[in-house]
Amino acid sequence: MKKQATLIAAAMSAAISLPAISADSMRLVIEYQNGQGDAVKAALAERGIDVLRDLADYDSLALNLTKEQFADLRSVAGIAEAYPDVPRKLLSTGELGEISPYGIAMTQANKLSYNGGTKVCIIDSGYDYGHPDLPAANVFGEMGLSGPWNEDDHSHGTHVAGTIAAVGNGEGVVGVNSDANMNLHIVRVFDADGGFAYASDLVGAVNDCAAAGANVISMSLGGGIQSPIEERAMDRATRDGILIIAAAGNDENAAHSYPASYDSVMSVAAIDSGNNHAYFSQRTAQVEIAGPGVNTLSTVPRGMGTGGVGQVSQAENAFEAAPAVGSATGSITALVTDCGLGTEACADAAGKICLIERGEIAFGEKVANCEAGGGVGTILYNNVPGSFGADLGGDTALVAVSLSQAEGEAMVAGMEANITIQPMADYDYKSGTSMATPHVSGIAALVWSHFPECSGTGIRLALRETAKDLGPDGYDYQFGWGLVQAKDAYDYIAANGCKSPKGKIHGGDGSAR
Amino acid sequence: MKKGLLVVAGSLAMTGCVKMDGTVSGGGTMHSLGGKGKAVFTVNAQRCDDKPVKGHVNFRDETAIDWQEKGGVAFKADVIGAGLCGPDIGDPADDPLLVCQQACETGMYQVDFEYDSTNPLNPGPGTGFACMTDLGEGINGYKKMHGLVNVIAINAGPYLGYVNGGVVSGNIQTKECPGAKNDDTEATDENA
Repeated sequence: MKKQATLIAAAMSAAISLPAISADSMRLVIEYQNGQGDAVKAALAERGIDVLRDLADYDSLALNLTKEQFADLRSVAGIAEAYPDVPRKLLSTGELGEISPYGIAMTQANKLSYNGGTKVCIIDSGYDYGHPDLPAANVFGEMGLSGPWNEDDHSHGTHVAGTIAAVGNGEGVVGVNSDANMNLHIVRVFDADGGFAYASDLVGAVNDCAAAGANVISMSLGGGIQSPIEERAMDRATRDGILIIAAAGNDENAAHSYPASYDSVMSVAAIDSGNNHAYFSQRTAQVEIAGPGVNTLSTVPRGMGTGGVGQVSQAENAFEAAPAVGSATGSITALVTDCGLGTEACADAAGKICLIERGEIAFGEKVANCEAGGGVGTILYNNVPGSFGADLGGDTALVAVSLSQAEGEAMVAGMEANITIQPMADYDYKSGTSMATPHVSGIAALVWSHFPECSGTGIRLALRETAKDLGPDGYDYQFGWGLVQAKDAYDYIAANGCKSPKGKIHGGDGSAR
Repeated sequence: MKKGLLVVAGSLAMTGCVKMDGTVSGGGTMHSLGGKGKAVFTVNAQRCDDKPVKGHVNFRDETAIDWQEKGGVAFKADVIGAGLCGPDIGDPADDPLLVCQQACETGMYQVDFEYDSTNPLNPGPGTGFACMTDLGEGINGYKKMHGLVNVIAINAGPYLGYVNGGVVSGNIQTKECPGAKNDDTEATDENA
């Protein structure tokens, strides 16, 4: 009998056991019947049920319920539909870093200037308003449930904002748009922990963006389960001329992530500085375009930068370099010696910078072998195309950085070089489709600023048409149509005008799902 | 009813899930694994009293992107393990087959199956499991909530590595076994 009774308990929880719902409460979206909103809200109030969001534009309410209240909800008349309020999370992978806003040149953002007028709405963890490298004049926001829009105690939102709009002021980094008068609207949906927001939060956020007159909505976030109300919100904003851009996801698989995989949203994959598909970037038939998203350098809230910023120079070459985790900071100038794979103490390293190829043993051992040979600094370079971040597994007294394979192979042994790691508390590296997304969002706004007559769909189709093909010829699931290209998109619209096809636009390769 | 709910609240705080008696039936479509199309499936399974577990799963995802070039994922399967996952209170599962997968939380229905591919371009047998949630079609019928395939995962055979999940357009119904009756009072007495 106990098993049977437990079955009843479990069956009850079947209706309420939803992903990421705590044991004590659950989040639900209900859609009320036409004209029943006030009556439903009154009935909910009588039952002590919290309304988290009033989504009147969609005849819907987002609720937080106890299990007892969920059972009690059955007695509320006028509810047409109910479904789980599914979670959404930030889509950056970590802090390891290769230096740079290398993505600026890769995406041709340095070949075009912001012409004013367009506005990007960033839905994220907030914005470090007052950061010396971020615009302030035309930046506004919404005071959300997760905290003030003009603060960011997580750092994700400020990093995204820097990629879109870090100011060209001679210090720090530059964004895709480097104009201090760039228009931004900030909607904060993540708190300091960056845990979860919910689909209903995004619905409210998208509405806030639309009300603020945003042209582009940038969402470096996602989750694996569709939400009807979320899709309606995306569809509506797109219909009204807004271009919505979201991250494809970092789960290293082929699963759809939402909102990126809704047809009305551009899904963005991540690549590294060598145009290689980022291993974490999700491959789906809704992936539409790619952007730089591996070890991207951008702004973080003042004082939150941890790793410093690195550079390697030799003769006329200057490379942005990723500080190794555990490296000392400082500046070393010395002759370069080639230590091969660095699997043993480097014989000719005394007083020199060790140049060591990736492979066979741990990075920390390679640096230790450089030091054992008397080396004073280490350059680790990749053994395959692209960049990487090196974690030494502990601290070293040497200045150690990593370079891409091409950069490492360009270093000349026997010639003097300089390695510098400069502590920069207001900047840091992050990886993820979260970082690829603002490259595309920023470029959409950049190109659009020159063609205010275009719709979001027109810009979307131009970006798709002019993307730099990567991987297999034509469209593919890793890169979509390829790497976003600002100047090519500008030239395309200048020559062809903006396309504004009627009817539904589909994601990915453009075919219907 | 309130006593039953208290049992739920208490039991959810515990860790570990075991399969308990109950049935599942349903089917429909959900999104493809990354592809443009839909995954289509039917499922029925039951664990009741001491009778052998039985049931079947039919599944097809022609646009699953790592298999679509060879016709996609398609199989028919016999159910070899099943049950409504509930908290392991009092009776620790001594049979590993009774333990629910970590991905299958309290309230989900788990089905373990052995399949044979029905796609001649990807032939062969294999195994997998699925966790599903009845959001309103069955015993807790409520409004118009849809079912959820929390996860379907293939762990052997030609579709090894296929992992998908999503909202079901269709239905998932979990029910008590035929003839079973509720006994809230005794449950509460034993577990309060």
